[in-house]
Amino acid sequence: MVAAGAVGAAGLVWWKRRPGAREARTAITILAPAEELYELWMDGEARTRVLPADWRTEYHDCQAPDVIRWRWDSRDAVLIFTPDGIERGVARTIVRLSVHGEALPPGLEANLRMALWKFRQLAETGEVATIEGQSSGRARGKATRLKAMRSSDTRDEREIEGEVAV
Amino acid sequence: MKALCWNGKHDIRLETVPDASILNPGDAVIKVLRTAICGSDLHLYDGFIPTMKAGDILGHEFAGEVVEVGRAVEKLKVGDRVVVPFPISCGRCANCRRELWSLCQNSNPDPRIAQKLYGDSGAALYGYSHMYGGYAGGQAQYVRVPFADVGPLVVPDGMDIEQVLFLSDILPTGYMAAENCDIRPDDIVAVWGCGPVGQFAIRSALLLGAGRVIAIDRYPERLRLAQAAGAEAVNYMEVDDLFEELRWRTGGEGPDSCLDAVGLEAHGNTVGYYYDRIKTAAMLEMDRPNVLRQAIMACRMGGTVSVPGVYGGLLDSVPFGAAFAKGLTMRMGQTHVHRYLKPLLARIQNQEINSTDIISHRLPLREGPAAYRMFRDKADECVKVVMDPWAA
Repeated sequence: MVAAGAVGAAGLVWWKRRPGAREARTAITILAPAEELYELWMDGEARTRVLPADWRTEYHDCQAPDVIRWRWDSRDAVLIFTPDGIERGVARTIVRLSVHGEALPPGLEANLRMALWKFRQLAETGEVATIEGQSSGRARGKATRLKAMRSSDTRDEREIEGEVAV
Repeated sequence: MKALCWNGKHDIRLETVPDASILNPGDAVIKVLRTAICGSDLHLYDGFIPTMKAGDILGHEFAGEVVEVGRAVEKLKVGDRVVVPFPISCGRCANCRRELWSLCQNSNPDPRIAQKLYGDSGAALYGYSHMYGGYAGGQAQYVRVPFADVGPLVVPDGMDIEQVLFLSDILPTGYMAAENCDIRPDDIVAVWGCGPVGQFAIRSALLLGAGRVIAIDRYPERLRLAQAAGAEAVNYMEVDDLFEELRWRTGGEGPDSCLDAVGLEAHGNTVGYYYDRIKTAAMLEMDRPNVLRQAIMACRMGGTVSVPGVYGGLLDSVPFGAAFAKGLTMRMGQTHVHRYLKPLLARIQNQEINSTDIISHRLPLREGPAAYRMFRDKADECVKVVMDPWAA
């Protein structure tokens, strides 16, 4: 039993420290035309909403509306937009993102997938889903004044006032 | 505002928390007028669903009044009374366009845990763990509703909010479970679990043309409710062998459809049940699929097993070989609530479905922690708890 545990632990350590892969890649299908997606990605503000802050980008050799290339921390990233027919009247595009380089950090593929997940949210809905700043029992303290007071005249202010002080 | 917060296994507290607010342009804030405890909330209460965080606001069954809308919201307006589906759906992705609302691809802010555990992430849910998006729930005085133009159904004037409350989850869930049985005239449908979802599944199966419904439970008050709705009642604690009982009642063939409205915390009196208790206690199994096993074994050859009960993880000793050998169809999944809102609202208005007679307790929100315990223990003949967040 102890020996099996030791072998397992050693395996885990090796797995964590194994040499990084040379390529990380992911793909997603988005309901939007390739041209629109290309422009959205090139929009700096949109990009900051889907890419981690430390992913510095220097674009080169881009081919609108199909391919975007950039260098990032001495790695090469390629984004390819491939039209994939029509889904219920809306153009469908397959988006493939790959990064090449020496000893890529572990977990990079999951981060790429996350970036494309957010990119799809932005492209399809116009917003990136978030729970940042939402109410919970973790943020105790003075409760914020109910925002409805600014925009609604339907609330009974007395009941609101009763809930503001904590 | 006041809210029921999860603080650990069997630890629900009424807390004062910051008010719900708009975070995205498509959001609305709803003043919650009624909220309910769902059977699946008990899986959180009992600690079966991973990725909860202390302080999370619970609740995915609620209805109320719109008090604030984001700048991108076009259909809802302040003052509308609405009932809100428990899955959060964008209305724009491929799955929403296919009416697979509970599989929305855009509402979960962080799909990584679900992708790791399940291979993919469906829609986020209100108040149902961070694997399902981590959104604050509606067992509170106010709740933020994302994609507000997509989910909420405006309640017609003159209807009591309580009449539509269960459109948020358990009524469509029971209905979809029955619909998944592809019921033909005179079919026999067996329903395990006569809790709220089971009750609506029984009524829906009869509405959809089932000849007979056999309701299985151990609580007399729940079996009485099922009988009042038109089902035959079987108390599994009072029969020697449930499989043989069902064979006897179905001419030796088994029910045409078997519906598991229990899910991962099944009880029972079989060897399989005690096997699951031991394995889950030793953390060698995540769910207790006792009912699922029984449903597969009991189902008629070529029949359907429909699973509205929630399963969360890895199941042990499920007789998949039997399901294969008998050519069973298995259908399951979170409910595509949006698909059923208007048709079921019409059925309520036409008095084809009584949507409120399962309510056993009406309580103020402050009694929520005790209500969770009562509902879990089925104490005081508790079938369904509805809470008023504004009652003193």
